[in-house]
This record gives sequence, structure tokens and C-alpha cells, in this order.
Amino acid sequence: MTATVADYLKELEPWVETWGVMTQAEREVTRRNATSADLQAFYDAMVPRMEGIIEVLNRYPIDALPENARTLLNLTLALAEIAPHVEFYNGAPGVPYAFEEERFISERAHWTRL
Amino acid sequence: MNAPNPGIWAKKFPDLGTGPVPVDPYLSPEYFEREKEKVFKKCWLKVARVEELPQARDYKVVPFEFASAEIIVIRGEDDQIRGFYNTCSHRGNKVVWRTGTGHARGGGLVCRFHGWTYGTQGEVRSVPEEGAFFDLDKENCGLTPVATDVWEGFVFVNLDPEPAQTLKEFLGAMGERLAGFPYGTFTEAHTYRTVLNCNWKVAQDAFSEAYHVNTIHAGSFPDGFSTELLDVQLLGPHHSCGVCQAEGGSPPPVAALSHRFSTASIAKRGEKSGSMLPPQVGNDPRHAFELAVIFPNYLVHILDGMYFTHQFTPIDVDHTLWEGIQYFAPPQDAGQRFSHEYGQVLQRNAWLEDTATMEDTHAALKSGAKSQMYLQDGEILIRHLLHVVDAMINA
Repeated sequence: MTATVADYLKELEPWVETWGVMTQAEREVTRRNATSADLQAFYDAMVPRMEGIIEVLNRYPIDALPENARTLLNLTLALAEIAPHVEFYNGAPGVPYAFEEERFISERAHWTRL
Repeated sequence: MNAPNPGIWAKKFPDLGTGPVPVDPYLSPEYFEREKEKVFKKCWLKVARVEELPQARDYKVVPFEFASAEIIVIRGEDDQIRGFYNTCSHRGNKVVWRTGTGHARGGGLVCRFHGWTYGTQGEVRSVPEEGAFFDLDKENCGLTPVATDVWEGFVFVNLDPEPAQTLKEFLGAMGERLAGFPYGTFTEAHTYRTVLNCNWKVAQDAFSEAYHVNTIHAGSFPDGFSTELLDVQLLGPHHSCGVCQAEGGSPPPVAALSHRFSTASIAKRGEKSGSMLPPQVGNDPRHAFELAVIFPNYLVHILDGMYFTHQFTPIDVDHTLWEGIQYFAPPQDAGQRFSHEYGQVLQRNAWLEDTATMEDTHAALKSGAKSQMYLQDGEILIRHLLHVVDAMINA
């Protein structure tokens, strides 16, 4: 049986509320407030499913995703947000040896779609 | 890694010398005053992309705190983009009360103080209670214009009432070198900005060499780039060079996924760039991205599949408004969207690593402990910037 968006959202249900947020700024705050164990658990849940998730999402036009597919896409964007922390920064929730992250104002330009 | 050709750039550009450089230009309020008057009020400065102003009457208000000025750039009904001081002709209030982009409704730009209204060519359209003024010459009550021009979709202004050069003349060989890249197709833009407590040159210098990549970016770009520069070009006041990919290393799982779904990322590995780059740029297979600096303060980095920019606008001698923008093409599917996000946050993190040095550098220089700095051959762009600024303020 072919997996659906709903199947993946059910499997990833424990992470949807925390990591399904819309904007990069929200994902960044969520990551800074997480523990190393939180990041690792979300990473371990997402990585083995990524190929399948992208395949399912690619059934829809990217600029007309149904709401639940948008939530699933947000989870992949949250993986993008936290992956460097697991893969490069030894699990640190903040960027090591960095400028104060809260002083970076992040803004997606108005002419973009997503 | 040691540079394979020690002294290669010093030999190519002997006029710049090889000695230490003074610290004074980074700290002196008097020096900054002259930079303000002779550099920033004389040179063309980037203020927008045309995509930010897609329709007639779309505008953007840009602050230039060093000049105590705000500039409005607005697209006219005739499609031309013009610039004006954001200062009402009546009693000088700001016509638009907030910076950033907006749209002037049918009537035009309306000053909220008393309702004076301006058209997109700066002309006064209406003055409430006009009959109560005395011989008001509305023809001469337009907004004060600022020289404005567009190159490759980048909107520039020049605060000099009579600029010595057109934008095209000012950009010269640099404009020709960077022309033809499909900037206008990268309409997904993400901006990061902050006020840095440092001189604008301290900030810009940190983005003008690759010597720091093994130390500062050991976290975000392990094995990402080498310290070597490719094909350094000094083009009038501007300069450009290639930054190299490093050899070896295999990416961890999510990095590898990102590279597979899209190659439009500064974090990509093992792809030979070149196809969308202009003919003069990126002809070495190690080329990762071009680091081009449009004097005085605008850095444009082009690579296959995206580009990104930095701008360092001085506020005063000790404070700088930094804005870094990453531009991507609209993603065609979810895999590309994911990949763009991955490349974007990794680069944001690298910028957090870069900006971490700047305030400490400035603070430590202010101690007065050092009167000069030492530059190696790969820091030639820093040497050139100091040279050009110094020549300009002493002219």
C-alpha cells in the first residue's frame, strides 16, 4: 500500500505541534529552546522517512499544497533547521561560537510564495 | 593548507604594497566624517531589487542614518523607478512614516501630518486648504529628487546632487563582469539583518577573505572551502575573486539528502559550477562562488543556482547596519524547497559565526593596544578597500 500524507503525519504525531510551525523564525526559536535529546529524537524520527515524505509531497504542486501536506513540509523544513546541530555541532541547540542569534532579524521577502 | 603561490597577488598588484596597515581608519571619528562626505555621499549605493517594486506606485523607504536621511524609491506609472528624500515640502515631516516596502494608493504618497499628496514623479498633487497659503508655487514644491538608476535589476541611488559618474560609468568593468547572470529569476529572498557595534570596514573585512574558513567555519563548513583565492580582479574601486571548494570529506545524511534534491546551495559539494555564470567568472573547476564587492559596501556572490549579498551601511563610526540576503529560484517541488531551507539555515549559521568576530575585533582595537594590522597575501581585498577609501577621502 502506498503511504499518504496522513500516514506520515500519524507516525510523526508527537512532533507535529512543536515542529510543524510555519516560519523559519519560529523554527529557530523552537530549536534554541529544545534540548540536545529533543533534537536527536526528532532527527531520528525524520531521517529514515525523508525519502518517502518528499515522494508523497511531490505528488502536489508545491505552491498549492493542502493544509496537512503543508504541515508535513514544515516538518522537513524543521529537519533542515536542526540537522546541522546534530550532524555538525555535537547536539548543541545553539550555534556554537556564534553571534547572539536573537539579534539576527529574519525576514522572508514579500514577493516569495512559501 | 598553505597558499600554493606565496605572494601571487602582491606580485600582480604591486601598488598596494605588503606592509602593515593602520588601525586609525577603523576608529577615528574624523576619518569617518571624511568617509561619509567623500565616499558614502558620492558613490552609488544599492537600495533595492526591482522585484521588490513589481507594480506602479510600489515603493521602498531606505534609511541612511549616516546622512540623517531616508530615501523613497518608487516605481512610476511609466515603469521608471525614481528616488526622493522622504521629507515633506510643507514643514519637513517624513512623508512615509516607516521604512521598508509599501504601495501608494490611487492618490499617491500622502503625508500624514497635513495631507500633502505627491505623485510617483515627486510632484505635488494636492495641498489641503491650498487657498490659505500665500502664492504657493506648487511646481517647485515637489519632493527633493535623488539620483536613481538600475543595473541588472539592482536599484542604486547617489546622494550627490550632481553625481560625477552615471551608475554604468561607476560600475565600469565590474558591471560588465557580473552582467548576464539571471538575477531576476531568483525571486525567493530571505533577509537577515542586525546592527553591529563595529565600524563598517571591520564587518566588511571579515567577509572579504577566505583565510578564516578553517577556524571560524570549522563548525558549519567542515571541509567546505579552502583559504585560497582564485582570479583576484581589482576593477577601479571594486574588486572580485573566486572562493574555492575544499577537497574531500563526505557529507552526513541530511546534508547529503539536501545536495541530492537540489544543487542550488552554497553547501553543495562536488558540482562543477559555471553554466549560468557570466563568461569571465568561475572558469576554475574548484570555483565555489564569486565574491564580488561593488564599492563601497555591497557584496554580490554568484554561483550556479542562487546568489547572495551582503551590505554594510555605516550608522556612525562605531555602528553598522548589516543586511545579508539569500536569493533562490522558486522551488519546483518539496525536495527543492527542503534543500533550499537546508542551504539557507547552514549559511545563516555561518554568518552567525562570521558576525561573532566583528564586535570583539572592534572593541579590542578600541583599546588602543595596536596601531597597525598585518595582512597576508590572501587578504588583498582588505588592502585594496583601505587603499581606495584612503585615496578618495584625501582627494
